[in-house]
Amino acid sequence: MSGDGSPSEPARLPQGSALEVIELSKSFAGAKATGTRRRLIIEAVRSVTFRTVPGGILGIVGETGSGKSTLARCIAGLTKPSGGRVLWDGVDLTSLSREEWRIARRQLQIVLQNPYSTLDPRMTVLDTVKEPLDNYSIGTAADRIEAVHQVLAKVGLGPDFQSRLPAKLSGGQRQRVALARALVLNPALVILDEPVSALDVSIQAQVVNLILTLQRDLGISCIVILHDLAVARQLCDRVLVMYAGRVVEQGDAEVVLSTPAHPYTRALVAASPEIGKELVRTSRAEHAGASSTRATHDTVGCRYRFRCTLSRGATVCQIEDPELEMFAGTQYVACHLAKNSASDKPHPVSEQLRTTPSALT
Amino acid sequence: MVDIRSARAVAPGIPSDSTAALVIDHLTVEYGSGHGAVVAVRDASLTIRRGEKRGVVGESGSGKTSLARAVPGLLGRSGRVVHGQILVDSTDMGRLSERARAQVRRRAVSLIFQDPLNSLDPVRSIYSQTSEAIRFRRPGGRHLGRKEMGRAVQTLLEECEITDAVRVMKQYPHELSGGMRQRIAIGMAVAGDASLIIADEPTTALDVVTQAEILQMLDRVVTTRSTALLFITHNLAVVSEFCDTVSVMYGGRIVEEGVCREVVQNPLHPYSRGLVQAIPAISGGRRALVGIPGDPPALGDPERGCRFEPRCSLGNGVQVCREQVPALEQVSAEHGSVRSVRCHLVDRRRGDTTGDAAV
Repeated sequence: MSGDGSPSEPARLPQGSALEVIELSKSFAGAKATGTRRRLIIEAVRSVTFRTVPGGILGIVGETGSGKSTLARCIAGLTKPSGGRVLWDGVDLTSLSREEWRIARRQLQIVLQNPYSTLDPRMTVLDTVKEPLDNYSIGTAADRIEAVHQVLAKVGLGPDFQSRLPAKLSGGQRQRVALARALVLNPALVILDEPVSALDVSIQAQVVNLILTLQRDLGISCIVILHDLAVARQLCDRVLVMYAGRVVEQGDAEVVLSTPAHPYTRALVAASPEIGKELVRTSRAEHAGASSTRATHDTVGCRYRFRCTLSRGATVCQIEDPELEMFAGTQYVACHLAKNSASDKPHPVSEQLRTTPSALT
Repeated sequence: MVDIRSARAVAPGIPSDSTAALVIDHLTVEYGSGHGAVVAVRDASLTIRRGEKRGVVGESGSGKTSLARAVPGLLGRSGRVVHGQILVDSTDMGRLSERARAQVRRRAVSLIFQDPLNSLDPVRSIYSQTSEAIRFRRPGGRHLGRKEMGRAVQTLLEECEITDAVRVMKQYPHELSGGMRQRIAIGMAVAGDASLIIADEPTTALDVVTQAEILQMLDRVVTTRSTALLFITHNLAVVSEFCDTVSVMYGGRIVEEGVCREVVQNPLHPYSRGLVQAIPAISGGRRALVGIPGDPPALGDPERGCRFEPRCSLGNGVQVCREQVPALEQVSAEHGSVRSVRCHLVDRRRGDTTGDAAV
């Protein structure tokens, strides 16, 4: 990727604090391959570059193992990236010391995935939400309790909740507490890792609406990790689609999810269940050997080529890893063949997939 | 004793004389006893004919899994059927000895679970496990020779769209991806000539692309065998794409039942309607999702009136809803399909929603 900044950067970027991720990479040493002493290197995140728009909701979508959670953890400083930089207000977060991180973290909060394991079972809601304020010694004891009341009201929990223990809370209520705990420090950016995936549908809708309201009222920026494209469609302004550690497509959520250009995004959209849609019928051959594990170990060529419906063994896909390039307007795609295939098909791809799945081939 | 002929059939297109593979009649399932007893399923009835794919959809705690597990008698130590009957292929499961029930489980009912690692043995090869399924479940399977068995396993795996069957046969579960394991679990479930397959959230742990592939495959194998399928899931969107008929459960009770397409297009029970509105859509514009306020009921609480009343947009505070448990009543029988709804105010609802397409 070229060094002059992110391809997602529109000419008219609103002013304000923005998070800029530049060629971020993270690799892990995997298991030893049988019969050798060499460890396989798993590149979970590979040279990811993007920039958030202040006050926007950016969705990072992809399936299990695509690197989306690792990316989030690198940004939040929970995992040390192997390479690249994360700039916040011009400050490189990856070079911060522990003490500097402590100060920076007031601005940058993360809410982890599972509301059943993120709350301390022995701490009341009041203590849980107040703890960050205590840690930073903000205000007097009375101020802190007042701040907790306010933030609990914002997430829709009445004052009678403050003395409860997590065991007495439902999944939706726990997620509200986790949100309140992140918001009590008035952060500028909140990273949410799968905020609704553990919740029932009727509760999921409540929490999606709550995130939208909070984000709008408080003017915070959000990065949301999601695997459900339909939730991304309703929640996010922009999306990054990740596959095997790479960003394969990014742009306005509406554009990317209604007219996906990368073959992987197309497959995801087509496979996402939706009410009133027919079950997609693709042939098994199209996904022969479809394993993203294989893709993560692969070092040359496009990582999606094993599953790709466009590539079909094209030489360029085997030898060259495609860069993110402008596809149309704000939509950026990392695919050698997307442009050619799109010119044949003027209609929105998702509509075609719905009626004639063979359009995938 | 239930008369199978008179048992309600929901789906059009499924020949009404095709035998009922499963009849559940006024089933109540309880866990624990005395004061701590929790009623997980209350008075549930449903009939699935051969060739019918029935979705049972509900949130956590709705009783859907208990309903499914009661059929083969796998409720665990604390769970038990306190009322009602379960007939598999006209055999009353409740009257069978444990030994005879195991026989039925082996021959007639197959189960597929959310995590295929639960149904696969980690220390035995795929061949060893699949061939065992064929040996015990397929009539004549016991007498297959080594070569024949090898071929039978290969054919079965290929039918489950495993491309490299010969290699996969020699592998162990941990060497395979989640999607592959689920394919094998499904293969083992259809190895014999089971008349009923129960799948409990079979695709929930999988990515969407794999989920779509597995659903297609499952669809194909149950359709070619005209097996009855009881498909348990929390995902109404999956049900709407995949199943013929659907039962919506809430708080241990079936609250709506009908042909899948019709239920999702025009849900009559306020809860089903809430579920449909709460599901985000990819297509169409960005819109505010409508959640259902409040939380699902605690099953340990005694049932007074309609379980959904506190969260209901129509019935909240209405006296009859608070005091009387509504009955599951048949509301229409258009085009040969039956719709039943458990709601006191369904007439009002129907007046509101006639001709109203999916939200």
